[in-house]
Amino acid sequence: MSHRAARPSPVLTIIVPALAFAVMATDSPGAGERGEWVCPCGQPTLITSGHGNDTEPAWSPDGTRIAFQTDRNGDLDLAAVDVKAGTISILVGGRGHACYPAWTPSGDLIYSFGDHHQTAVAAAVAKSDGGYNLRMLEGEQVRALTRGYWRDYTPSVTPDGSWVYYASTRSNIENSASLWRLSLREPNEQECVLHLDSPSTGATQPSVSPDGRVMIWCQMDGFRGNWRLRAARPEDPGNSLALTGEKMSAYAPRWAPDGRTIAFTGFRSGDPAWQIYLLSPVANVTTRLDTGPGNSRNPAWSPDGKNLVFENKRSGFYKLFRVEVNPGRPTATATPAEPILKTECAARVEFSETGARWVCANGTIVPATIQGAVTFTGAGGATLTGKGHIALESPPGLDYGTECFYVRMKLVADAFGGGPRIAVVGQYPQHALGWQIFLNEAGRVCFNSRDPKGSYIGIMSDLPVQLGKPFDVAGVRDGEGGLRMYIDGVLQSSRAAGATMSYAGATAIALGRRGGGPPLTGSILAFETGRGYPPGIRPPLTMRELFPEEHR
Amino acid sequence: MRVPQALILFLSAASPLAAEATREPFEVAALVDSFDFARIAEGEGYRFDTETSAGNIAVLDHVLQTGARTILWRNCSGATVRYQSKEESLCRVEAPLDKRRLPDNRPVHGWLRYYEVNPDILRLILGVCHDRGLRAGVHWPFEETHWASWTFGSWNLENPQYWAQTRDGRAWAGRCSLAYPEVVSHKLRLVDELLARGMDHLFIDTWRNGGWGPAFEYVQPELDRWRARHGDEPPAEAADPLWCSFVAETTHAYFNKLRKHLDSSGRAVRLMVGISDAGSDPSKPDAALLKSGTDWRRLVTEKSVDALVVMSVNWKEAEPLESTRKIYRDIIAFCAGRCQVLFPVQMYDFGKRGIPSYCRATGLSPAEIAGQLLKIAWEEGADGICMECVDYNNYGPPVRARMRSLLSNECRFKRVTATQ
Repeated sequence: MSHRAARPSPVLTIIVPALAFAVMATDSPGAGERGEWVCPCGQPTLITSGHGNDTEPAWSPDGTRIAFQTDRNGDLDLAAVDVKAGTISILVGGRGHACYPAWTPSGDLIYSFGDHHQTAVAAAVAKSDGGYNLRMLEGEQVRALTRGYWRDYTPSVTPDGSWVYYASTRSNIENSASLWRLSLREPNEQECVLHLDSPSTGATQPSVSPDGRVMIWCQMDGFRGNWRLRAARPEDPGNSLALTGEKMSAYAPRWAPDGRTIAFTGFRSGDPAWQIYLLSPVANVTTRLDTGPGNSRNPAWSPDGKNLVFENKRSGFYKLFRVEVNPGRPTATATPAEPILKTECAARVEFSETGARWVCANGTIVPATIQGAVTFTGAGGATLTGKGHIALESPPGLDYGTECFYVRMKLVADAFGGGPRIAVVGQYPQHALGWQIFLNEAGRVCFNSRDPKGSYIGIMSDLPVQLGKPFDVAGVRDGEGGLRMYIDGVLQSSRAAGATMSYAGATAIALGRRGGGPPLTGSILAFETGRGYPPGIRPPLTMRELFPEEHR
Repeated sequence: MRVPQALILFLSAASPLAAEATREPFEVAALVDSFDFARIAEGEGYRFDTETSAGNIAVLDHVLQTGARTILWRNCSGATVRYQSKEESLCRVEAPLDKRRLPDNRPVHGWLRYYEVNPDILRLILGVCHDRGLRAGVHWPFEETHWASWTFGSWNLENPQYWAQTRDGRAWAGRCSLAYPEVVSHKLRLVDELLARGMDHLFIDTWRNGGWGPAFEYVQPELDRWRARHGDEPPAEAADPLWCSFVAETTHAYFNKLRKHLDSSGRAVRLMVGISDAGSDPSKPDAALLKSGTDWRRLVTEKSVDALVVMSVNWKEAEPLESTRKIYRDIIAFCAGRCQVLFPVQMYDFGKRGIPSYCRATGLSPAEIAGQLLKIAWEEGADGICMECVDYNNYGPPVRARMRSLLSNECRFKRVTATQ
């Protein structure tokens, strides 16, 4: 196989600033720059054929075999193709779905297995093992690694062979999946490393870089969003950054053996189908490989980093193809658009024994509008009996546009139920309930923003509030429409995306309910809103922190 | 085909029995979502196993207690189909076998696999309806996701090149655009699958749009079409009625193709279109246009649909039933016999327009409201009512009794109005 670098056309080079952040600078230093990455690739070669779909390839550590899942016999089985001879052998067959093969460094195979031959009701009544659980194929022996009525899937093994990282629905309630890991050494401890549990929120396909420094995965934050690649330090996946932008659907990331390049499946508007992309996080550039017609998905590297195997459907079935690649080192870089790290408070409230006043962005002091019964307890805050609220009309500085902003308050709730109990609402010309913090029916704290159509996009706390006990809640709408919530400084598992409404100047802020519905009863101890991340909350990682230049 | 009213009047005068034989029944349609029955607990288990024949027939039996005679069975959730579809078979239509879907983690619900159940659920239930002399059709939401990632369709996930796109170029898997001929062809192949299973009525529910709307129609064919017509860029604001009307042209063309396709099938299939938040004023763009890119008035005017199903109306809080009647009357007047009209007796209350909200506004019981709404629809000359959706006991025994009482007596047949 020869490189096709001499022919420019098949080396379709996409030149993009690849990296996107939770908080984008308005005058992004990367916005006008273009990294360029010419990545030669060879002619794709078919390596499996026949009836059925062959998918999810994984190259063995010794380079001799490629494991994959196949439905050629109906349900999903695991098979392997001998790289030299081209012969295919079934590794795991029989009833049930065996899928998502991942090799250990020693050549064992970990995979996900589920066997659902009953109806859902019959299985539930019989308390059958209805989950997808991890298994390990050691030689010809199969060992169960996990059990239970959950889905454990998309495993990968750390380069040192000590852990399996995987997606799992363990303990999740919503339409969601979290990231877990399982020790392959006794006593096989198992732990959740990234808990995500809100509707259509989840992460799959985690993997740790060859040097162990960085973990990547793909994540969806609500059904309105796209799958995006994210990265973090393995010891702190909660503080992650996005590697791909919101406009692109990106999933199935795989580290190159040298740890400098990530291959993944992607689609951007204008692409003819699913494509194989390469990403250099250090150089901040992405390139699309020319793998021919039809969907190309799920790339996996050869151990020497010179080939990719992927699935393609040009023949009607998904079949495995192999292509020679030479990612090298990108000759140019795009300066990442780093997040705005500074916080700018736009409005906060100060309490006194006689009332409250607002401290606004421009330094002006405005007496608060008090309507109804509000009792002030000095600098400690205000007590709401449900019959009054504290407002600021036409506050300056709340014209957040599509930028990152936060809303933070400390409060004590005396009751919940009967409907949403509004703690604070930001009113805008675009929507009278532009953003809010409230207690829902179940006593969970909710924070919401809006999409451009004005539709509600919201998240909630992991647990209901404890009545009578002070708590701090901070809601963040990042610069890409993602929502995060922190309770007493702890990031909550709920996520949402698509909250990209552009906020013009606010018409009012109101603490406590203004209008109908059940009131918030309790005390408001502090409130502020502003641009960026709230004080005391750790801002997101930067690209340079996670992928420093010396790793180029 | 409608019986000429003059003939009805003649027969009515000639003989009460003959008149009864020829008068058209007042239609009672029920939207049925078997999925919603799947989690009804009973003892240590569940009341309905909706992956079995017996379970689905039990669902049907329960629905019929409302007096429904038209059954519109849900064929999908989002684009995830609930029968053995060849068109929607790639890839595996469940999580985690397709890792782009996040799993539904609710017990039972998250483990249902309607797409591979034997026998084919839709074929079974439409056949049972035929055997029982019921009108048998399909309730097909105008959506490709049902507000959750596990409802993304397999054809959709296989064909990202047809995905929706926002004005700023963001691709979204939530829907493939009807502006691509390939997408329309795909929909028509799905229609063929429904026809092959015995569908006689096809109800397209534009209220269930899965979060899609004109904001996601900035796809290349639409951009090209706009530029060719206007010579400039489309409005930046997706809710601009001009843009929504433009998008509605494509939707309208789809409905016309659908109509033609049904007509060419050799079977008499009634095409029904459902709209929500209907108001009285034709001069104001309504929710169907702004949120679902559908111009229902044009569909009626051009006789593109056989039946208009009003799923909710913007009644006034101060005069709930009176304002409802006014809107019904205006819609009947607008439709003017060009299509059938069904009005809601709706227990669902997502938009705060259903029976629970009427109860709050009037202080009346659900049974009283259901009876009132049914009678208003009948009195204003509707062809029938539609219940959205009949779940387990959400139309409780008193409601069912009240409805059956009216439907057995004064509302048994369509009202013959003076103008007719």
